[in-house]
Amino acid sequence: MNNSRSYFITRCALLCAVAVVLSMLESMLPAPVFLVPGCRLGLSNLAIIIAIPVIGSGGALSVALVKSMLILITRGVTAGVMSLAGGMLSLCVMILLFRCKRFGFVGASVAGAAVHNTAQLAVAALLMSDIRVFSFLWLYLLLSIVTGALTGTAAGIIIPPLIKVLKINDKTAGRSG
Amino acid sequence: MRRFEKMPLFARADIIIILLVALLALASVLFAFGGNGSPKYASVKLNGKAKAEYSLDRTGEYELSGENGITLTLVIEKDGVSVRHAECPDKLCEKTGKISGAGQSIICLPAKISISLEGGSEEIDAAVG
Repeated sequence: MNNSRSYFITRCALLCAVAVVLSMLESMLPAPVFLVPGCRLGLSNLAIIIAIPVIGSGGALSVALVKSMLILITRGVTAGVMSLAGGMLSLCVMILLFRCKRFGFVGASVAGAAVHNTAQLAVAALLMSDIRVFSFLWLYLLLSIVTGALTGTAAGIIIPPLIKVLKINDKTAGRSG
Repeated sequence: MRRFEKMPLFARADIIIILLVALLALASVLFAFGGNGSPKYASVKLNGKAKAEYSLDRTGEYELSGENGITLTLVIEKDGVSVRHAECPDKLCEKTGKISGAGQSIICLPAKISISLEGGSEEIDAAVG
């Protein structure tokens, strides 16, 4: 019996599902008319923020990779590459800020969203070989404060009780925690 | 796992992050709207390579063909430049509307076309790649 391992895998899969559903919901929202195609607000970041404390950095990395792969399949190479670059960089930043212990969920989430959007624009600029794409940057940075605050607040509400529940679950399953 | 239970929703250090992002946003506003002199010509780039230039002295409509078989119509008027009849699925370039300041641009990602106004007082002249 390897309960903790199967728990880990199940949690990874669940969070992947949450990430995909959130990113689908997000793409259903009417995109503001002036945005660069392929760039999204980053609400699906919520699943990745939750993944960092619940299944660890490695688990969160796998969730981010699965999300980008699915975007690659459903929305094409451009959106996929943009999502991959944004996802990986914002994950690194968020893990660092989580480890730092000095920041709250909102701060980590805003930084993650800002890095995500900037990386996406950088990839768009590279794909188009045109630095002018960055003239959208101010808008994306302002948006990332808003969406980051939203996802950070949601994460801050969800994560502490979730971890408590999972800990009880782990104990009853015979895992030391 | 314990430390995440104690992680605050909002720490004092978060203000620094938010201020930093806001500051970067402000700096990029300057990048976007810095060169608002009166432009002299519209430069069309396909895939990052300069393809054509249209003087703003003459009004008119020009057909541009981009990648993936997408064509769009560039409309040059006295007070600015806009895109009409884009065949791309999202029509973002049409929705950008009319641009009039130097350094401003209309971008169509599916067709890999970018149209920018140049020749103003502060010209941004750099390309990636």
